[in-house]
Amino acid sequence: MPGIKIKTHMSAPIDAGEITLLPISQSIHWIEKKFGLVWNRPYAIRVEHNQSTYQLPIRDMTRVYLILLWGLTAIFSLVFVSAKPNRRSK
Amino acid sequence: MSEENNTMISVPIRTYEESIRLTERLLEVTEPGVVFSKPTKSGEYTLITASEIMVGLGSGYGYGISEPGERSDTETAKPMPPAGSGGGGGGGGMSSGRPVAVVSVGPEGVQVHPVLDRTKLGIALLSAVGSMLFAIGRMKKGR
Repeated sequence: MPGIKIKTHMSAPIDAGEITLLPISQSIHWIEKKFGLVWNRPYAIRVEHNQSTYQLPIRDMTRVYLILLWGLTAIFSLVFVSAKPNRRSK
Repeated sequence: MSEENNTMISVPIRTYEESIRLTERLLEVTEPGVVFSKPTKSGEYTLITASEIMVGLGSGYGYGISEPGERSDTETAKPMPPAGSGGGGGGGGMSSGRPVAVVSVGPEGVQVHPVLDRTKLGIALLSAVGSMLFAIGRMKKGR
């Protein structure tokens, strides 16, 4: 079916001694008539230990830094464009 | 349009629909289970690599049919080209994967260690600095 879909998946639990890990991933499906794109990314990991459960988020630091860099470049460009002095007419 | 032409068009359309179904099936292969690797034991530690995976596919096609021209009564008129048809198609795809983090389970508990793609960041930094220098240079020229 064409369109964009965002899904959250839970993979099979992983036993590491007394700790059980439950990996959670997110996928974006964009399927149109002439093309399709699927992007799977890790979302978080759920930890079960001694009857307590908590979730650790997985952050893509490369993407965070890239967005920061693009943002800085955009701000820099905007500042330079706005700071350009107007030419005086003779 | 003639019956023959309809048959000619229906063949590529049917094939195209089949290709869409095939594309959807190919994209289903990228199961979310591949995002997390199988756990690897190293001493007291259990390590799991979390990666992002992207798969893209695209295809296109085109065809054309020309109908025969009408005959002219005058002798000097140029002869009309005969009826013809043609078509073509193509497709392409890409896939990429990149480690995002490593999950370690050890005596300290469960920890998530981010993985930095230094090459990607370096290229982005160089491009950003280059574009900034270009902007400064153009501004200086304009004064």
